Amino acid sequence: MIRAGFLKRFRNSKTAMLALRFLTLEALAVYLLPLVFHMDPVTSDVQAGFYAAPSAAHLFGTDGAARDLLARTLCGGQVSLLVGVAAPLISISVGLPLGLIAGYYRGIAESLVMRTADVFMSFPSILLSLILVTVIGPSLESAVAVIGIMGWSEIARLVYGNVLSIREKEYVDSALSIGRSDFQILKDEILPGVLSPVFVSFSFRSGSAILQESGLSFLGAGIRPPQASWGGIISAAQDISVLTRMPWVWVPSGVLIVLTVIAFHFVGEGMRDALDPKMKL
Amino acid sequence: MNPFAFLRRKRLVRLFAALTALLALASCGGGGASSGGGEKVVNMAFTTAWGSFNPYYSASTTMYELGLYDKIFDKLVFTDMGGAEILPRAADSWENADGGYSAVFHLSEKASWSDGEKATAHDWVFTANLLADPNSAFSTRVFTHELAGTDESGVRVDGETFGAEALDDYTLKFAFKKPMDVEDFLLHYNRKFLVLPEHILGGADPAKILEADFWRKPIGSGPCVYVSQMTGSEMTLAPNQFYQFRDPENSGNWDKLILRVTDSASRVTPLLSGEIDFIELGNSINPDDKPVAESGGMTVRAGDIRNFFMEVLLNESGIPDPKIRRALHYAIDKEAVTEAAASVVGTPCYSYEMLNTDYYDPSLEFPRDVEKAKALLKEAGYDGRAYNFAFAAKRENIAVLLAQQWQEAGINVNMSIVDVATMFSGLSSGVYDIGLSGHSASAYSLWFESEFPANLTDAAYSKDPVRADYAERIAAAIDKEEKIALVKEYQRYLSEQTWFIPLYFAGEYWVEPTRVSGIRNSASLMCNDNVWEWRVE
Amino acid sequence: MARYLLKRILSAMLTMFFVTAIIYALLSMLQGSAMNAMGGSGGEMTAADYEAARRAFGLDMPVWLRYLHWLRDVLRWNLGESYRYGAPVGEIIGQRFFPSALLVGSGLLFAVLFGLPIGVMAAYRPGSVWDRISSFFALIGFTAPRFIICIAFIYIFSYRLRLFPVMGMYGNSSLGDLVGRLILPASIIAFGSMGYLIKQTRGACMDVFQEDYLKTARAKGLSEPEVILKHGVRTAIAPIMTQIMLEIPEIVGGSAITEKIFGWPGIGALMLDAIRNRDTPLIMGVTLVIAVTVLGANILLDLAYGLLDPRVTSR
Repeated sequence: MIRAGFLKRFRNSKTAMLALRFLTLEALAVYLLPLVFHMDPVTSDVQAGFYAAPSAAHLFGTDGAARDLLARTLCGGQVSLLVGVAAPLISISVGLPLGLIAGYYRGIAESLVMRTADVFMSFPSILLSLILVTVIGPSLESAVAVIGIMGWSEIARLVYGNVLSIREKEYVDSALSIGRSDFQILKDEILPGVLSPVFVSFSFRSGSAILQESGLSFLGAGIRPPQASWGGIISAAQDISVLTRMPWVWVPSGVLIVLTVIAFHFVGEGMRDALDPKMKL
Repeated sequence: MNPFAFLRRKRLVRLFAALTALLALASCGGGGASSGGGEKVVNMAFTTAWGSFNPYYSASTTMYELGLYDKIFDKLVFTDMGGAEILPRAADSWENADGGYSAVFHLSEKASWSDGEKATAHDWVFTANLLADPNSAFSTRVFTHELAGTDESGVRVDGETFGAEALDDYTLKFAFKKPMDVEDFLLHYNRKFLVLPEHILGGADPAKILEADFWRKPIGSGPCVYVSQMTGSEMTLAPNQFYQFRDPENSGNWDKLILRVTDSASRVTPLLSGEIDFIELGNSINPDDKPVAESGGMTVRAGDIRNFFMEVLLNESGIPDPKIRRALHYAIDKEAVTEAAASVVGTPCYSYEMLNTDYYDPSLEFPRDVEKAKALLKEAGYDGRAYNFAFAAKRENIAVLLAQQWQEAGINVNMSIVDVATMFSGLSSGVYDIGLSGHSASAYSLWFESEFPANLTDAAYSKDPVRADYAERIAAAIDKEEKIALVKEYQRYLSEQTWFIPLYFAGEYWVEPTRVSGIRNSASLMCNDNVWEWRVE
Repeated sequence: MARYLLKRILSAMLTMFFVTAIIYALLSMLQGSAMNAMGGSGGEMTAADYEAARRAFGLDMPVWLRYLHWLRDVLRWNLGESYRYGAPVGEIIGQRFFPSALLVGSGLLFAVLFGLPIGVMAAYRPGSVWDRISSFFALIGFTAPRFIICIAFIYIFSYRLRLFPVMGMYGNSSLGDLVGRLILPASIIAFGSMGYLIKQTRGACMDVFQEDYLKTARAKGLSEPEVILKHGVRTAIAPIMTQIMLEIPEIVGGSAITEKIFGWPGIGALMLDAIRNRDTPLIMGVTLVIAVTVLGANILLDLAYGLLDPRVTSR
């Protein structure tokens, strides 16, 4: 699937490499630093004070419950990166087979799958996710599941479109005439052709999954307290005192979300250009 | 220079005005832009949206809703100073009669419904009858269980004389089952007893009264008249021209009172931006916001009364063992919680009684004792289950501290952020085991009796015979010393049972309104607003 | 044309049916809580009361039947009553519609007014400083979460630069005041959708500007502004409309958060509150309105697109 030239071309893209380095560094930081320095994101340091300004003991200051914001920001990063990887995987594992079936069999399967995709795409995903999370009950697992499932329709559409164009090519017909089973044709002839765009869209989906999770957490419907998440940390800035007088509370998480999403975006672009610059994504 | 002038700044506004005016006119045309035209408008913020207009049937019966009913419907009296001072409202004067077995209210002869009809003692009797009606569709009977001729839950009993009577058009008499101090009666029930018009609702079937159109566009004898609303976000009221305290010379001069629902996360913002003149319940702000408000040029002072009572609600059906409930209490570090929530204006507390009253009993205080909590848990055979702990978003910081402190004692909780109404309904249906709630305390020795059962109806609290017996004896006690002794015993009993955990009493920082004068902050805290006296610059 | 339109409308109605059915089914799992919100007042609800209320609300029926009843009521122009506010859902939504339309409308207008020229200019001189700046803004526009843009805008424009007021829609009820309060949230909505818009415009115009007939046009003596306007902007309109069409659901969703943060009394903020309050009839009502708006806007844009490019309708 990944051709030899791919890595080389990807490495040639400066922004994509920079973004990839940033993400790697970030992943190392959010997962290792809390372990190495025994950081505690959930225990209050009442002596340090509530909403304390940055100090040697608390480099990013403390939040309204006197918890260390550096630790919380890092653990929020764990949540974001986890969502960024797990949610697209779910989207793909739902959307890829459905898209293949819809594009290959056409007919009823096609209209059923694609109509349903239309339904999902015609309603604001943040509102639908919010309803879903309210029904399931907020937690990290439900946020990942909901965001993952909500993303299936885009993947299914993408796969469907690609399958259609591959189908028209002759080798599928010839495979059919040899009398191979549908499953084998799908696996050997069609799947390889649709994997590249899916692979690229994984990175784009990661970015938007992180956006969605932070939005849900900002609205208080993402993860459960006391767990930390970037959106949850930033929601404190709805209070004007925090917004205007305590930028240390919300600026780091805000900047990190934006940078992370941008990085995923650049990685996606890099992969797309390396695979096929003409790919529409 | 005022660094918060930005909240009002209009420099760039003109630049965009032409462009957007065009758009505003193009899109739909209706609503939105109406000219001010010299009208005097008071903007009042509500931090929680109101449900229905019906004071006896609402989804949440919170203080916020009481603040709305207070504007449209009239009450017997006006309570000030955290309830310590009782002033006339619909009633000019009041006294006990029949050796404490009844109370007589001399009503104002000027009182009138906003449609011009006279408001009389018959309306009050009518309202009491509606509340006590066996078929009443209302969800509360407020106080009718105190009246003669009713059963324990306040339902009128056939064949007995009902204890609400109009002696004449302007004299109202309530006959009680047992002696009751009229001032206690008022402190206890006045806030939730609002009069309804007999001439409009008189013909309605009490079982179907909720269906009346009246609740869409109510007519009251209160200081304000309902004009219009944008459900869940805004309500416009006009002065009731017939209100008894209204006189063209001295009374308030506003033409419109607009109630706006604003997000509680940003109490100061709308004040600073000039969008709001006054925030319900005393224009108080979060202590953390004091510097912001002051740098915005507002005068902020600490409240004289610490009457904001914060408690942990424990659901008796979820945590039936009093030992576990006490363990939850012992595990709490109230100093830290108070610091997180109210900093300098809060004091940790161990009972619902206000700190400066004769009833307050310092011997109830005890230090945090995690070991004792653990011992109690062991005794009770706590199985390590996680209790469901629900709270409103604005209480997250307190909740997080509590959860950690409980964790130290080995008690697990699952936290959920919900809105206040969901918390209460979840507590009463058993979905949640623990909640967090704030109340405005009053000087009345049993004020909490009426707050607590309203929140947790299935709790053993409301059914507990010992508690009920104490409450009755306290209510009936006329001798001060005897009453104090009883109240102290009662508090000790409550502390042993721990149906709720008192956290702290807080005073609040009050912002002096800049545009509106004549507001009584200390009364506002009790869901009373003397809106008829408010004057706008 | 008429057949195409009919087909579009029918398929939109089918989609609407599914959207509402899915959400209705989801919400049916929440009904218990809504019942509590209703009865939890004084709360003296006995098991018998509870059963009676269940019947009164029709909650003893199976979900699909309740959904059909709901649908029937909708066709009779009745959206039911909100649990939380006790008022007719239609009335509540009616009051919130204008503020939302104003906000989203101005947001889209700003987005097109600024996004289109920026994209055209970027395509005109690819690789220039202008192009880099605009692609940076486009990037931020589609990668930054809406709430961060809101908070950052409030911090920068209201607090640091002190240009606009922060909260609410109605101040002193004058038009100037309304406009002042509109600019910031509308710009945020514009900013959010401008990212893709700039990208799309740039892409479309790049193709056009490289084509030969532009050289011909220049050779014929058309001035540069004329070239840009006549060929650039005109070509860009179609892809921009596609873009807007695709983005409408996200614009509506994003405006919900914007409305919430700015205390703007619109449909989106209403929806967030309704979900928080588990107010099923209200959620259903808003769902319907949002679905109708999104699908209706899609059809309208599709039609406009068809008028511009007749090939679409004949496909």
